[in-house]
Amino acid sequence: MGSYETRTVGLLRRILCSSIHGYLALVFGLASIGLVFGYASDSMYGVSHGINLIAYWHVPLALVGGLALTVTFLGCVLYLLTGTRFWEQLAHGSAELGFVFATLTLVTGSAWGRVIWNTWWDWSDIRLVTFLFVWFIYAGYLIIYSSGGGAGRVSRLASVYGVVGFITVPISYASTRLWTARLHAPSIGNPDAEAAITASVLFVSMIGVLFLYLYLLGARVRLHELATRVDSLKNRTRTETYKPTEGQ
Amino acid sequence: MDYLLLFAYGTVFGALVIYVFYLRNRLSELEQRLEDVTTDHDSSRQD
Repeated sequence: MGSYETRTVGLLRRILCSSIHGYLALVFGLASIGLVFGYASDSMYGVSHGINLIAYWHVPLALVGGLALTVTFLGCVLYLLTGTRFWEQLAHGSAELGFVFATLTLVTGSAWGRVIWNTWWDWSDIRLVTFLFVWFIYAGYLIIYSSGGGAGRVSRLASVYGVVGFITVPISYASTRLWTARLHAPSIGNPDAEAAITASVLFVSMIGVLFLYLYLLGARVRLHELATRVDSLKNRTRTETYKPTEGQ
Repeated sequence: MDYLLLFAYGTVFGALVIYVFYLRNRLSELEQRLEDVTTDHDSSRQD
């Protein structure tokens, strides 16, 4: 490991191990719930209905999920380039969280769509279909990674898969601009977007979900590191136990 | 409150609680493995 990489890994470890993320996630999470149910507008797309309040967590879950999968991509690239276990552990931890967030995005979006679009799912909507594709890609990554049990060759294979599979993420997030979506309209930077979301509440929820991601990622990476240490201790003990006696 | 909203937020917080339990379970598993390694190490040194 080069000195620049050592410093970067050390800095990331310090950031991820900080307990402040947990407290901030709790504060912003509670503030978000209070604002969603006490202040936020529930009138969107010309429909005034309570289910619109799910938008304040559906959008942050989707965006932070996308960020998590981007971190997975970077972790996979850096692991393939340097061979440092930290990047692999960061990539896997982030993919696990990205997968959870993507699943929750699909569930909350489906419940929201049931009222707003009068359907749980629509196969002709490009955003829905590409996002489901992303979900399957990362389910595959997690299955490949877990099948190896930390073995080097499988980790490298999973990393290559993580790098190649990432192409689906920007395609899904840009799909509403690349193709004509039946239900989802481009919302970021689009002044004609019909969804009148209360921006301040969405911002608080976004910060809350982001800190939650950082807190859980830190916990997951620490667990990975602990598992690696236990494995190396076990191997050392085994080597010492079965060391052939001199003269044999 | 609308039942779909309750279902959606319930799923979000339920999934987060399940994930935290999964992490705790992994930690307990690692503690057990560490204990086994320590016991093996101690017994091999006594032999």
